[in-house]
Amino acid sequence: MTFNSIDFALFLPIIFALYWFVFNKNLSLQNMLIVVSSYVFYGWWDYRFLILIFFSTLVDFSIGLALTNTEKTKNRKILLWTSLAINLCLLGFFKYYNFFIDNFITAFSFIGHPIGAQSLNIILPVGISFYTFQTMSYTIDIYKRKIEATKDPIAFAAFVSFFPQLVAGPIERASNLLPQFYKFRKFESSKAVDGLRQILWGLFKKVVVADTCAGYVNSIFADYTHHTGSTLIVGAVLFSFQIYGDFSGYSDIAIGTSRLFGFNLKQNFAFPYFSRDIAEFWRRWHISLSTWFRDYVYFPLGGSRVGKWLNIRNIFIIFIVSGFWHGANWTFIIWGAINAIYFLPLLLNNKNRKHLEVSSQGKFLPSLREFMMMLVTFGFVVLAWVFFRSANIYHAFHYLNLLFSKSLFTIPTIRPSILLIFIGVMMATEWFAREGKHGLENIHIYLSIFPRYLFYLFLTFCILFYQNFHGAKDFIYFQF
Amino acid sequence: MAIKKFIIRFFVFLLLVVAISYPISFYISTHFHTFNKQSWILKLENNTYDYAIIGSSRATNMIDVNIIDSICNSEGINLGTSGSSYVENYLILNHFLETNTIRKLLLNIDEFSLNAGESVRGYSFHYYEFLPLFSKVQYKKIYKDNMPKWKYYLWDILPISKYIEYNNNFNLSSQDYGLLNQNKGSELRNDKLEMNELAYKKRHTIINTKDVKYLNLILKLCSDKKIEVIFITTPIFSKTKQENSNNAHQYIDSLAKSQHISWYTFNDVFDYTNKIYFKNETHTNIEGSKLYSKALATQLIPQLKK
Repeated sequence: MTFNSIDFALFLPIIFALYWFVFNKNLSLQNMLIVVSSYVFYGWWDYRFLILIFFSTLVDFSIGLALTNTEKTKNRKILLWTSLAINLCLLGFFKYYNFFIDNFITAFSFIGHPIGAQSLNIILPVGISFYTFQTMSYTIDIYKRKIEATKDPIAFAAFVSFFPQLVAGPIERASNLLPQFYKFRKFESSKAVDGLRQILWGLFKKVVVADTCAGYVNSIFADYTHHTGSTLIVGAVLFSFQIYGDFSGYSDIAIGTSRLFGFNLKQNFAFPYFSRDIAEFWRRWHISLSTWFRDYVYFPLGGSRVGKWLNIRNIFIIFIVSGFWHGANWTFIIWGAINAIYFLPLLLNNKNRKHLEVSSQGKFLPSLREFMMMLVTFGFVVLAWVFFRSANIYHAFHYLNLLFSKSLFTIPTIRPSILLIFIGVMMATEWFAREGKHGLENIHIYLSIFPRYLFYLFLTFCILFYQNFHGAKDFIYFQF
Repeated sequence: MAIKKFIIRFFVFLLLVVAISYPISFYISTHFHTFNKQSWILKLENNTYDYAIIGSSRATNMIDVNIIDSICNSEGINLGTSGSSYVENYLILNHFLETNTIRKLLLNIDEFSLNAGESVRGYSFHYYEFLPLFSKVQYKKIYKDNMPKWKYYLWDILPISKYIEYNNNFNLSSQDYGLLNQNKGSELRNDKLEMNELAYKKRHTIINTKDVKYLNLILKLCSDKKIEVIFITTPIFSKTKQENSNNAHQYIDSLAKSQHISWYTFNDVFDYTNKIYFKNETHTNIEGSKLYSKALATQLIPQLKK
């Protein structure tokens, strides 16, 4: 089930009531309830794939225990590689099998040796990239002796399948989330209220901004050859807000929902469109994935503590792998490579860690210089998103070619005026909240109770009137 | 206890949402519009017509009122709506006759309209097309009879819920009804659809009691308002005609005779075996519709000519 569905609107209060009123005296029962409800939540899409989650859980729980009981380095390495191989094989088969087969067929045909391989009709299990990365990080951390293996299978199953973040993250680390399943959880009103605020904000971004953008974006990208350059730039910009609203909205709902159950998940988005350069953007966008690749790919490759050329290689590797993580398509790989190219000048000039603090910290508005930096960074990001959104590489280049034509300086044929107001509301709210963790976290600081509740009501009615009750749109990141 | 306080706060917020929803709902019902023929019909007021046509897409897509009017020197209106059943037709006619007058009603009747419950679209009453009418006492019974009970009570208690559920159907901006006005409600179509004779094989064998109920209500309404009813059956492609459709035809024939209603079928006046006049098995294309409208007008001259 999706967060923006009637099913979830009924599911959540039922689980909440059971969790806090029926199973509140027993931690194991609470954890068990989380496992069962998470499996129900996931099985709502396709119960057949529950076996994959169960299998992944079983493998990493067993290997985690075996690692604890094994001291010999060689044996530990075998155990680690067994876990990685199983998880990557699952991911590789369901997500990348057809990509490799199709590319092999094309490559062999190109050199005059056609091969008889066939692609398969494989259904991609929702969220497979998220939970396999989460279980892999658990085993790697035990191998590196950063954490202890858990002996509690229910807590581990709850950690792997925790429904708020199961299908689209944030990708949690065992060091953060797993210990929370061991501790007795007491209901904290302030935490729950803030969780509800975050859910409200996430729904607004998803239902009102992202889904409305989707209508325009889909029509522009589907028929891009018949649009002016100015309309194509509108399409690209709207896609940038669509993917942000969609994914950060999902993360907000996931984190907010977790808070209702007394859990703290990692912040996944830190207002990335206010970034002043591309390095800052990547510190603020999909943080749980970026840090995963940093810790488990970039650092093991030597990170920045190697020569310049090796460092450049490492940067390209993590950006390209990150692109490939999103999907089995060359568009994602090129998107990753473009971001690596954006990153390169900052790396070469040692300016990739220049903007670590929040934009215009403590100020009401940014300076003109900062504003221009944000605008330029956003412009670069928008151009890269064209590759992410396009059906194939040819379409992406063709789209950009048509975008940078004379018609770029004409009036766009599509002018989504009401949507621009909603995007304005989203960006303005997040600008004032940029020192917090979500758009409504610090709202009580700059709004007194009456306007604050008016704003909540405005958001609520916008969500109700923009939600499609006869076919809620899935979140984009479910496919990854 | 913290959790109780939290739940109370949450419900207070929900109550606030509910309270505010009432004025918003009223505003929507008066300012927002659906973009379809139904909304065009609901806006028709204070007009007098010689006749109105009512039925499903087989009425609105296949009968050109302008052709009939030019031949019969009459003034008509096409109140047919796509995918509709007699339930919907009754609602439309009821509302239409509150402020408009007609002398005759051309009612499309055939094996499909007598079993609309099994229509291609799978439902016989598009209740969401008439949301503003829901609050009117005279129509509540129709809604209650034709929609899930839980939804009926939800809409009744919380009027905004119906607009929220069907928010995609409502818009603030106004619609240009130029073409409907110009064609007097006729919506002749020329879509190129593939003929799919098999799709209609297993239908038209049952006479649905609910459709008959609302057909009788239409007849009663007309009788009360002293409106003469004329049955018409618009063309069906020859191969689609079912052996069992005889049930329906016998029923229509006996009903027409018992109520002294004239019944004009296409069989005698239209070449229903020629594929070039059809866009699919149960709908004529523009060419076929124009040809049939001429033929129908010729049949109706004695009835409509002033």
